Amino acid sequence: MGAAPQITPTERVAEFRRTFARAEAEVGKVIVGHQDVIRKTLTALFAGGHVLIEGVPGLGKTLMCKTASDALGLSFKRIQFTPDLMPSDIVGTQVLTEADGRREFHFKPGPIFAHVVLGDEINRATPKTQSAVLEAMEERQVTVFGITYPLEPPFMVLATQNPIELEGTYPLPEAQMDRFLFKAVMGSPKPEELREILNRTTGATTHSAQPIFTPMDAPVAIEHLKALVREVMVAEPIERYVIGIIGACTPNGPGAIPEVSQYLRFGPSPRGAQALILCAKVNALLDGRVSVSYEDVADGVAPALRHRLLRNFQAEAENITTDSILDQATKRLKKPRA
Amino acid sequence: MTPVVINPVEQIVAARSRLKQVAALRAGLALCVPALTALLLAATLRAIGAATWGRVGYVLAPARLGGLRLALLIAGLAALAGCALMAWQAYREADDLMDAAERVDEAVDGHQEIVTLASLAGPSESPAQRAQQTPLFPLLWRRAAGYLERFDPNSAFAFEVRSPLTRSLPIAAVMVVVLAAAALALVRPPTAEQLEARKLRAEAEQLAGSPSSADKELASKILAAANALENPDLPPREKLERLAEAMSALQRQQQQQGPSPQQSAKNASGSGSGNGKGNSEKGSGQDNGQGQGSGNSQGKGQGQGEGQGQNPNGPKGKQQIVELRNDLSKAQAQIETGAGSKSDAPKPGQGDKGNALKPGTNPNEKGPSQQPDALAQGSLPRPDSSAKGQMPSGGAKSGKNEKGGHGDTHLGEFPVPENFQRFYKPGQGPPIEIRDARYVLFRLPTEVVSASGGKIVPDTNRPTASVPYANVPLKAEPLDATPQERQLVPPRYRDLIH
Repeated sequence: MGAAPQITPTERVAEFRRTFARAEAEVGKVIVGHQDVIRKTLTALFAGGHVLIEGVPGLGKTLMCKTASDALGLSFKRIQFTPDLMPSDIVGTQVLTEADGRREFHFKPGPIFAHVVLGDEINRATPKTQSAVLEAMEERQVTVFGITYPLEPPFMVLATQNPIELEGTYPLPEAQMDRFLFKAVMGSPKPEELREILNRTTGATTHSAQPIFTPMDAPVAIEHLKALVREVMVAEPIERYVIGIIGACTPNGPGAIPEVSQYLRFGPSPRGAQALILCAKVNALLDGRVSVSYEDVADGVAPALRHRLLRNFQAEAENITTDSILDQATKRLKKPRA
Repeated sequence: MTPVVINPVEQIVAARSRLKQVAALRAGLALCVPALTALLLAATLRAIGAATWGRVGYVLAPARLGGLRLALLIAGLAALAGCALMAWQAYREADDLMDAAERVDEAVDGHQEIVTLASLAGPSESPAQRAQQTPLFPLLWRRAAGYLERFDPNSAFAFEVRSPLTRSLPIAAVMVVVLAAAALALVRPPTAEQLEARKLRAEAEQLAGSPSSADKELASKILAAANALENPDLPPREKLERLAEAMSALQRQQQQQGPSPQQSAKNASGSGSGNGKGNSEKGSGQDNGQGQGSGNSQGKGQGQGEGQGQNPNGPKGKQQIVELRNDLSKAQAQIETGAGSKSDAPKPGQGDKGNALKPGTNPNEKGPSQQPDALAQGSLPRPDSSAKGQMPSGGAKSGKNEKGGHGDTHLGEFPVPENFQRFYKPGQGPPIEIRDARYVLFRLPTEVVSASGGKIVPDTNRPTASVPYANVPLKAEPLDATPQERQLVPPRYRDLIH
């Protein structure tokens, strides 16, 4: 990562907003609708997190991920998770090569070595394979045969999973779910959006995203923008508000609402609070501010916490979603001063 | 024109000061109305009592009126102290920079930028420490300064008195309701003494308005007598003394103005001769004896009062004095009647049964005990203290009617003879009757009949009495030491004392 450019804070904030807006626009050229998913995906990228995208097949999840990486000029790799996928198929392995009459093991990197890695239908792989991604997601490095290989920043995992066709799938363990910054839910397109999708995909004209950065500049530029996100200030009352949200969503925790205690087995971990703050910081920058507001935090509650709540049997039987529980919790939670 | 540089932290600090004042005012006003209500009620309680008397005809119990007033005063002062305490507490609690920043943020819609600035750069932070903040801090400072450029804490946080006053009104209303309930519990029909006292007070206030110093002095005496009348803790003797003082002051005033009402009464139609025995002694009491027997003198007073009241030639001031005399006399009569009823004396109608020897109840006496109707109705003037002074002391000289004048009221307490008094020895003086006896000695049978109807056994040990009954004081025993107490001598030993 190079030295920080000598520009004023105002220009840095303006540059962030410009880059984000351009990325949204470039992805929007390909993906019709799903602005919220696109925004959350880009937010997670600048916050340094990973996104789990859930939706039925055919909604453009894979296309969106590839378009986002293309728009930012980042390298992209796709892994189709299948039951027979092995961990080495993801992280790479040592292969025996022969050169000059000598046989040596050389590390052949797997598809995890990319800026944006799409784990398509991640819940179809075995837990052993899924866990291979754990170290890469959290430590941003992989270890093969005792040798650790760092992953080049920015590193982001975009995983998709299908909420239906659960036969032959392996639900992600809680530990792995917790490593995703956001869980974005991609819904069905509206009729107008569907019409636009038809026009774009069945015509002769192809739509593609233009990269904002060159592949050479992209990692550095994006790292600078990520650093800017970390510099955004958070007041102490905002932190207390975030802590209050986490407490309200923890069964039998301080400030827990009755629905939480009734329908949840476990609440969000501290990673949930971190995700809320990071999301709020990006939101603040997008609004031209350098400090977080309550609205910035509230905007990220559902995507940052919905996959961190573990429902109990009663909630599943009554079809109580985590989104509805979060909605109740945030509505009843009072802001610190109020 | 030089642009004004806004220091957002200073603005937040100024807002905090303003918020502290507003919080103190709001907290102080919360109890202000009840406190002022209590003090106002305490100040006007006497007027309320007077209004109760004037409009409803009931009077607030004077003893409890004072207690109620004191309670209201204490409650009002305590509420005021509570106001001050709450204001001070609110002032202290409002001393929070973050809270002030949040309020300012809400006022300027700053999206918590003001709060963030206050949390990162409080007044205790030095510029060097501020420089060590995130590189985005200058931008935050500029944005906050922009928000606060036209922010005025005084206009943004105005003193709002309506809501705290509105909140405190129910408390004040409850206080008034409680006081009204207490007043209803304390009101009662006025006693005769209170009626007289109020009349006297009204007349005293009328006199007090006079420019004459003598009138003012008389007014003060009458006012003191009225106060004494209304004071339930004061013994009747002191009340009578106050009334006597007022009466003597009235007499002095009367003498300064002209002929005395007594003389006028004599010159009048003479309708005051409602009691012939009283009139017969009008002129005889010129000495200053301490005669307590007042039966005849009361009769005299009646005649005087009536005569003065019918004097058609008196000026208006004299008429007022006459009314004063009448009221004072009535008050004296009320007290004497009240004292008589309190001392467990038999009622006037039972006086001739000879159950006990009490002042005024001796059936041989001619006095108020024989005129109960006149006193009770208050239609006739009662004797005044001056009449008592004019009554000849040592009433034994005046004849049979004064025999019971020294009747003691407590068995076992022997009367102490004055220098001019003496007791008859057995066989001396007029013949005495059994009803004149102070102590009755019973001669018990010296022989006891056996219950079984057998032999009669004389009781030789029992002492025998030499006289059937006597009205003699016990002989004073020359004792070296003053006895600690006096006890009633058992009847069986009394005839041993000569």
